[in-house]
Amino acid sequence: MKWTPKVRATIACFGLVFIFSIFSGRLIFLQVVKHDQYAALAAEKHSTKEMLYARRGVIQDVNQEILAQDVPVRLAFADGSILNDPAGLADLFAKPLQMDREELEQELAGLQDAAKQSRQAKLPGVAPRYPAGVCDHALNKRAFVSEDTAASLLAEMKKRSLRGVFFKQDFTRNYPNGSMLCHVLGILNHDHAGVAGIEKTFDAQLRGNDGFRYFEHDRTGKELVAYGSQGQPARPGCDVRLTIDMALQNIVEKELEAACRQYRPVMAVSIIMRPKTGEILAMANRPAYDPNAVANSRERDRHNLAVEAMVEPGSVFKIVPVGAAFNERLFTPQTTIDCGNGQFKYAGKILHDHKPMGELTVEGVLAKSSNIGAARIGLRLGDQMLYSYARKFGFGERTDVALPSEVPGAIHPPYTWNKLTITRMTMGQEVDVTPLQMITAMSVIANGGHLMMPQIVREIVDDQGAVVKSYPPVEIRRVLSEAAARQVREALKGVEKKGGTAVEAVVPGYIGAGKTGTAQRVGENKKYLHNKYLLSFIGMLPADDPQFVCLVMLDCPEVKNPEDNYGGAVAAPIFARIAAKTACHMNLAPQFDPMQVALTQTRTK
Amino acid sequence: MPRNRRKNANLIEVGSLTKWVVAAFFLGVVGLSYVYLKNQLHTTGGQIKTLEKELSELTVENDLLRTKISTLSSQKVLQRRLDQDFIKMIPIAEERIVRIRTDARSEIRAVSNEGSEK
Repeated sequence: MKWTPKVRATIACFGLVFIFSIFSGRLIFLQVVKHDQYAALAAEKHSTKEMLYARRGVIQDVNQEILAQDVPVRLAFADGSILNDPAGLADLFAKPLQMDREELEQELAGLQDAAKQSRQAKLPGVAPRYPAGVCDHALNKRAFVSEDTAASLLAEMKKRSLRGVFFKQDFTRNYPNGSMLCHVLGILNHDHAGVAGIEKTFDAQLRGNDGFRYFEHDRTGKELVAYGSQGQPARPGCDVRLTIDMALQNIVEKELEAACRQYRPVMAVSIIMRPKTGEILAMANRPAYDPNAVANSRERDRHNLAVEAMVEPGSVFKIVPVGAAFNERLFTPQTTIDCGNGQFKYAGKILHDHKPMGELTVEGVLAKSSNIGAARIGLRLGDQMLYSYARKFGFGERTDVALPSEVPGAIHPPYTWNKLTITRMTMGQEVDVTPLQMITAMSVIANGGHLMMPQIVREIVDDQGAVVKSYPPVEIRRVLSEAAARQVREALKGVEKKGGTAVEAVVPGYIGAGKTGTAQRVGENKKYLHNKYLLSFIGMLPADDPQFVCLVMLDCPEVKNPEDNYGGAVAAPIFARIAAKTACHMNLAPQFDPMQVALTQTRTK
Repeated sequence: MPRNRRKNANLIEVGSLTKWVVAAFFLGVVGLSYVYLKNQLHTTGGQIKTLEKELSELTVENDLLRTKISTLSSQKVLQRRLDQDFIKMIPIAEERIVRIRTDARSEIRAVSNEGSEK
């Protein structure tokens, strides 16, 4: 073959074709065969996933007053890969992050070392791969920094040429009313999840759904907006509207606080309920705590005693045998019962009244709170019927109110009773109930015989204001006939009249009804103590058409005069003050002019 | 240049040259426009990001102000202000309250309408 120019040109062309084919082949290998691998690598290098945290829903009262809300704050993070001066950063950040300076410095130095090791271990020409957490390590998840503080700290960092700490947006929970309604609202843990109260029960609805966003960034980390981003927006949580009226809550809290200052009880509970619907309008407990500073509270202060405390109700329980007796038509309000000389021997034990009462009508038994009278009614009813009515009134089972940790109380079936039980249960012994069960049972009397499920949540509303779910009143069962409930109500009016056990429960201008409770507390030796009482009063207003029922309960109050250590002297006046203000707030027209009554009484004298 | 040689000289073909110049100019304009638009896209992207950041800051500020409002208007703070006599309020005495029955409202409306007709 002659090396003519044509041959040389042909060989040169083939050579070029071969060389370019190699490049093309390599290009196809990289672009087609290895596409997924290199695309993923590129995405990893240039794409960032940003979490978009959902705002937790707001808890509101019935008038949409905010009771719990999220507040935006900043959370400090450290990036070990760019951190330059652990000591300097520790000096600047230890105080605002509430951390020990030495510990913070060690933590930052550790991150810096981890990043350094990653850089040393990297392959030549390949970017270092940092272990998870080195580039975004949360410094103190409990220490939130306000927006202003974060801005000033960043400015100070720039001034001192420090780098490696940055802030991320987060939320903390704020309770504008402090300790008010704390047991109902509950608290969150450090992961922003509800662990008590409404925050726990409605955690799924309040929480919302976190979103995310993928975006591309340049070599310096600056977002390349032109390339757009993909992701899913955060969906805020729903708002929960309670049945609580904060004006009434304020009244109850104020009176309970005053009572606690005066009597220093071990615990105190007060609840206001609308009997026709079962809506809880106010619920307060003592001791209380500030949910904005949970760390400063004791664990035992955080229990919602209204649903978690099991107590013997005392004479308040007498509404059960009396209600049952009227419903079964075994007694009429005017049926007389011999209460004797204040002592009643039964099954070898003597049952006492606080004074001899002789013959009393059934109305009188309630008005004067005769233990003997109630025991005789119980004996007439019999074990099964008394037990059956106690269960019908809702004792011994959870009310299913939307509050966590509710206890069912304890009421034992008749086959476990001894001979004395029937005479003791009628006066509220040998049975354990919660304050919420007590007020729910009294609501049966107030609303004409219906057992209503206690409601604390009115509705759930989404972030656009649309109602997602509403909670209408739920009737569990009918317990008493309308007539029987009215008869009990009429009898309970006598409690506040002259000769009744709670004349101090009278609200001027209104005719009310209610029942006192004075329950002896049980000591460690499981015997009744003679100087420790659980004092309570549950009343309703106005008695003829009750618009609210209110419970006041104080455990072991310190009373100066031992003769005043009963529900009518301690709990009833507190009820009267709460009820007077509640009636005014609810705009209940007085049934009579108290001034005119006083004038008439003066003229008669 | 002698006349016989001028005949063979490569004369500039204006028509063809113009075509090429126009094509080059067009390509140049297209290239510069591409760069300009690319820059514009980048700048606009930056502006969008700045506006998004501003919006986010305003939202945060709004949230903080809302928190402040709800705290200052909470029952607890209002009660404290009331106790400190910062807010002067006295309860309305019962004798100063005139209660209007629900069924009486229509009568009052009718009377007030009559008055306005006059």
